[in-house]
Amino acid sequence: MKSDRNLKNTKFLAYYTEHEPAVRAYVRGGLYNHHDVADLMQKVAIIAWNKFDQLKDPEENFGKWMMVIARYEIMSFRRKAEKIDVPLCDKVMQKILDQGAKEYDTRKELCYALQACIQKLKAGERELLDVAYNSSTSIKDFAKKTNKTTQSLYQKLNRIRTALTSCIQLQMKTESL
Amino acid sequence: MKSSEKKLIEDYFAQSISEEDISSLNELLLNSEEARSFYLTYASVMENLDESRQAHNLYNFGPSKATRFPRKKAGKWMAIAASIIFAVVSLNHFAFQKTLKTDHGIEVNSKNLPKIKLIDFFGLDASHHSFTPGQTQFEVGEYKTSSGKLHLRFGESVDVIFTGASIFEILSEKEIFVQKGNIRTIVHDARGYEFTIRTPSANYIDWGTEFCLNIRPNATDQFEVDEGLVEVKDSKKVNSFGKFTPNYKPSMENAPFTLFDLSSDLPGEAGYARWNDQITAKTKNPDLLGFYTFGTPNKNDVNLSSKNFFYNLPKSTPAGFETDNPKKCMFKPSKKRYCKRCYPHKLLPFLRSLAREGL
Repeated sequence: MKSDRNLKNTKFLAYYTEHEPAVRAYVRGGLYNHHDVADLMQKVAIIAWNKFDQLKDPEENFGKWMMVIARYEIMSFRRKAEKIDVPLCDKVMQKILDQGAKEYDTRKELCYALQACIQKLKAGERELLDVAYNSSTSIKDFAKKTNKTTQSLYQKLNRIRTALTSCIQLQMKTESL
Repeated sequence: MKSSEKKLIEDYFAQSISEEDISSLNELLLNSEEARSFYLTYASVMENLDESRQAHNLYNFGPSKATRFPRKKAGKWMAIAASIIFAVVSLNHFAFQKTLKTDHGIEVNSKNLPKIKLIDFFGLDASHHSFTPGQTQFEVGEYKTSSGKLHLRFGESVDVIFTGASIFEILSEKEIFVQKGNIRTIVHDARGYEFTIRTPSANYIDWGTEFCLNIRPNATDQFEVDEGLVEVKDSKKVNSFGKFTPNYKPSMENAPFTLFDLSSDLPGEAGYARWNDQITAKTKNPDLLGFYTFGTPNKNDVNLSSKNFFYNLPKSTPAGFETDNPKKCMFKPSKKRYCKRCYPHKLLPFLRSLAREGL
């Protein structure tokens, strides 16, 4: 009995570890505020754990199955949320989530493409990304140091993210050819 | 995809998209598969980058070309080791939410990331932080201002306005620790109940009200309830000093605070409002709470404390609107000395009349 439970634990954790980043990204697409992503992922993980026994062929289906759970939770979140937290309309969100599920397999590999695209950035852009996501220096301090305004740096960060997205899309398209 | 279309998605994820652009974005995403694909990729990029921040140095953004993510599948032993590590992390994640200790020794739940919005600031000199209007990303941590006014909204229903020099720490969406500062707190509805201001000597728990506090290091807190109910407990939240209302003051024996009339020293959320530029937003959304902003009067502003403003009033002054005392609040539903809540749901009829008359 105990060994059965251990086996379930190990299997679940192995599948969850493999699929969590892609499902999390999918959830991010369904929510406006990134603070809500962690809470929703926690719900998804608990539901997945409780229903794991019912899943047939987890090797094949685990990721997509988690996405179905995530999708249900996103829509449930949207029903309860304030209007300000769900600016995109339901019809649009359904379409986005449909497409996200369809493209799931390609998105699983996205972090490798992201890594490659970050390397293609200019040194200054990588430095800004490093300040925003990696270092203990605040954007404000960095702005002072580089003699720029905070606002301009945030705008530059937005442009970098857009450039990374375009680069990843191109890279994934090339790889799929 | 056009760059203007990409910009819409960029603004959406930066949470800086306007209402008009939201309509355009909805239309774009509804009709373009390419746009949806870009949107989904952008979401993945955001999430991967945010995760790397939490994992500290997960990505190497430096100039090195060496990859930290070999594409080879991990071996069996690596998988087992990863599973064990993950099990420990998950157990910690699900069963015991991480707690952090702040500089003042208060334990903060790391998962309880606050949903806090900067409504406005005015004349602010914040020594350690920059504040951007509309900013929503407030981390748990300490903030200092040496002058000016700062208006924050916690969740959707608690407004906190700091005036002058203040040192405060955001602990969660429902709790702040204030070491120093003049504060006005307004809880709009039940969602904000139990919003708590901790000070070195007491905990002020708001039960749907408006109240003022003056916290000074090494001095007794000054406290005033303008409306509603505030419960005061000791610093360990063990003993209660009772629930205070404007008219009911329980026993003050050994209380770490004194009751004081603070409202005249505090900004008065309506007193400095310049909401002329917000009329469109307000008329579009009658449920909008406290969109008013602070500021000194200039040609584009309406300063409620300015006599000129009253001279420009439309002829049909709405009921409940008084013009005899411009230095205080113009909305006086009762004979109270001070305007309690000049929120748009009360202002709206008046704003509409202003808009109609082209002011």
